[in-house]
Amino acid sequence: MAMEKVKKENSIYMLIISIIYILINFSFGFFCGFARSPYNHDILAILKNVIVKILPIIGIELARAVLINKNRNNKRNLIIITILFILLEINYHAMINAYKDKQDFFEYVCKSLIPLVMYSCLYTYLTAKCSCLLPIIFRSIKQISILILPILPNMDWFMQGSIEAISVTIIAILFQYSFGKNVKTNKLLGASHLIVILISILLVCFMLGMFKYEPITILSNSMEPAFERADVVIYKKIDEKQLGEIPIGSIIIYSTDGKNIAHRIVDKINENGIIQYQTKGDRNNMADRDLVQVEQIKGVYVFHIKYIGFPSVWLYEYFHI
Amino acid sequence: MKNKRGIIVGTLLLIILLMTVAYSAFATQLNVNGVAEITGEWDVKITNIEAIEISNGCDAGSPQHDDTTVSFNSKLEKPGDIILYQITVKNAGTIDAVLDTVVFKTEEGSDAIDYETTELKKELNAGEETTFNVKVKYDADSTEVPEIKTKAITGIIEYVQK
Repeated sequence: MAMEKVKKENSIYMLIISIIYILINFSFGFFCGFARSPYNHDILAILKNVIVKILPIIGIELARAVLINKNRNNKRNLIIITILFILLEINYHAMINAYKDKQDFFEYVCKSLIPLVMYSCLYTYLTAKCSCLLPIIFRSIKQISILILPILPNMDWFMQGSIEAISVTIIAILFQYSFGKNVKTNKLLGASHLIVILISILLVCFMLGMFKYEPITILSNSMEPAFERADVVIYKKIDEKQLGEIPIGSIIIYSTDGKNIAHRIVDKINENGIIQYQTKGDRNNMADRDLVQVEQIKGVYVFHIKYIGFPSVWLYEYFHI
Repeated sequence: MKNKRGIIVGTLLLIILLMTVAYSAFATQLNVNGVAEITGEWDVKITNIEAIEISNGCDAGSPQHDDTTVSFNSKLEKPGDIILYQITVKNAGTIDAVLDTVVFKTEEGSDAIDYETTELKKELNAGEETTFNVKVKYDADSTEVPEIKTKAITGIIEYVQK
């Protein structure tokens, strides 16, 4: 009877968490924009989609629960069960499509495969500790929201992957507390959990350019000795009104042909009120061929951190060379 | 405890209701671009654009595309000239799709330059691929040579679930 009460309480807890997850996930659209949902929104189509999507979720989680109930105390078997369900739920069609291109495959791994692995671990944990009802509630609500909402946040792979990874971590920690572990015995651990989550969220927001300051990894040595390849430059976004008032000698970050460049302003040209900047890399002998329009400017250099951009440089070179 | 949980759930539902109302009110101000890519099961996209026929002396520019948009800048020399672009759309996902939006917008340019498109396949089942053509033409009846001989066109093609 007591166990039933715990299950019921945790189910309501999961219901609340699921709704908060959807709200937060949806609100990211205000930063990254929205895109129309591709799903058909006729009543019959919604019902069909819900049945087609939710029934397999229930089936999978019930099957997971049956296997876990027989192996609840055997950690090795729990790991094998988790791997089995990861293999069962991999979208092989998307994986094969992505496999044709190195960068697509990397993005697929980050936005789909890593969250899938993390979620599967979470579902196994929740089922083993409480009931398969918890993953069923979370997955169903998440899936239904995707099927019925007319617009969805238009996230890129980094944002999708980061949000899912952070969400799994937060849900796991919340339920760890709910299941009664470490609540009173280890407050230090609780504080460290909170700090790690906050830092992760701030880091993701920083990388996504949600703050006034944004990082950029330098891929060439054209600005030596100011900074060099693999340094990370932090630049400050500037207001539209100030774009025409950047002093000569400043280092600006601007985009051209889909690439970001950090070069120094060496001249400012004002033709009939239209301002353009002449830029040059400190190490280059000549100024850049094309003048920079104010609309191309993303921000002004503030400071740089040496060498921490090497992983980004290696990854970039792996995908583009 | 029960009441407390009830209040929390009720508050959340109220927030969703408020957000829905707010969404309806501000929907026109939201920036809604294209069709969302949801996991690998929805994956309808433009996979290629190439100029397959170019009249002598014309320049097909460098046609660009992303998943839902194509753009090209055509330069035609004389009346009667044409450039024919072939665009490939693929349903690489697992859900059957139906054509929802086709919009071609011309940028400012010569009035003598016009374009026509062949019909897109209405239904694109999972795994299927289709092509359609966009012909950019210099009006053969044009008697004056305009100063501007270029015209940029952007096309948006969107499929949704069948």
